[in-house]
Amino acid sequence: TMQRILPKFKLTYFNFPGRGEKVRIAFKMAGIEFEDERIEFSQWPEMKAKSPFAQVPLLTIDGMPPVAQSAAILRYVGRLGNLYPSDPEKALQVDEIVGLEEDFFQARSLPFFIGRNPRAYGHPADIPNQDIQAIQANLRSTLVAEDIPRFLGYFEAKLAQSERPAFIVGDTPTVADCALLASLRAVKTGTSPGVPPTLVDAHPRLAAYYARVMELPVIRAYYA
Amino acid sequence: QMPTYKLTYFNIEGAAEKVRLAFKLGGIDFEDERVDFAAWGEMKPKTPFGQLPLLSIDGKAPVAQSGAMLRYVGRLGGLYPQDPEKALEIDEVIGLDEDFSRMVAPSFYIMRSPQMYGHGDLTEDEKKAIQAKMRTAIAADEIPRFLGYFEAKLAKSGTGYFCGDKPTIADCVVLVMLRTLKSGRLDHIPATITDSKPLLTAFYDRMMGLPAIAAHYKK
Repeated sequence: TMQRILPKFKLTYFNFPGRGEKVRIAFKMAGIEFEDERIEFSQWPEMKAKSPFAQVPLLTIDGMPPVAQSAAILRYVGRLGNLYPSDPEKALQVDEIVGLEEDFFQARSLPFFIGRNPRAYGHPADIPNQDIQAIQANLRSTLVAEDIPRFLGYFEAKLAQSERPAFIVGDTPTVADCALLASLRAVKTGTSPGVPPTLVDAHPRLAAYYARVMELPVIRAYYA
Repeated sequence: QMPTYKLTYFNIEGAAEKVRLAFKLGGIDFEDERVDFAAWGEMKPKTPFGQLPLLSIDGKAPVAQSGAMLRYVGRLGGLYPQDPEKALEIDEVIGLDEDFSRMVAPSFYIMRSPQMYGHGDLTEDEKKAIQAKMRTAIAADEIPRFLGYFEAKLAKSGTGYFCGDKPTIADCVVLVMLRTLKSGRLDHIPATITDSKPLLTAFYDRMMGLPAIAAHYKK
């Protein structure tokens, strides 16, 4: 394996899991040190104005101008930390899961996005708060009944492709596991609003996978 | 012995076009299978995740996720370097384009299924009125914001391509975005909206002039 002298890394994101968590998990799985900078919402407007694309997470490498895009940062850390195969067909399998998890994140976050910016979804700018909350409650019950089980079923089916699945793709951890763990954890720990933590348990391989990955020493230590 | 590739998608550019371009630029043969919308209802439950595009390698079980396919074809065709810092630059551009698509999407889906955003039953006229408002708003703020980011990226690169001095999968992705905007098929988004960006305009002409891409769009 190629040994590199690694630069200093700083990951900047809000103090919640969201889009940053899969990257934090990747740093931990890779055993790569990083500064886990967590900002408060009150700090965000000033920071947003100075950020390249008005978004976080951001990765600062050796104090250089920061790089955005959580999936880009995830793959970068994965390349440095042996979590992202260079074989094209293996990487294709990994990327398929990373993409699917992004779709899952988008689907279950939609009620939150609508609440944050109703105008972007065709609602009047002055829509009453209680109307938004009713919309969110409605959409969340559909998510819980249909979309979330559907996505969990896809990951369950992926695990079912192998008799004794170790990780979501292949025998060693990859960035696909980092992304999937972040999503499963969001459901399991109730940080996805309105989503019962028990939804994962209906999928036995996925529930076992979650328990296994959470027991990895670096992951257990991180979440202790 | 080269494997055979089949890319399956609808007969539109959409999510598959960047992958088609990567195949063409990489000089890799592939079957460009196009499915009628009418055939999709029957096909959907037979797909792994109820979505297109799909990529089948040597007739094996198909893989989903256009971003995964794009990177795979990019690796094979020399359009996606292994170097972590170079790939990071490329992936950042690809991610920005995905954010752009997600920003435009609601004003597209509002016409087909407004209930997915919490709207009730709407008449065709009501939907059109809402879409007009959404599109006018993004034409004024969000689209120029993103175009500014891509323009700045080109300025920083200085080579005429997004990352390095030759095309990568990042260029495939941005070309498709520009084609969508320039087509005029997004109601209430003027087809001239990108004209105020000189580097993006030159980039568009450069990419469309590449022999493999010119040939692709000739047919």
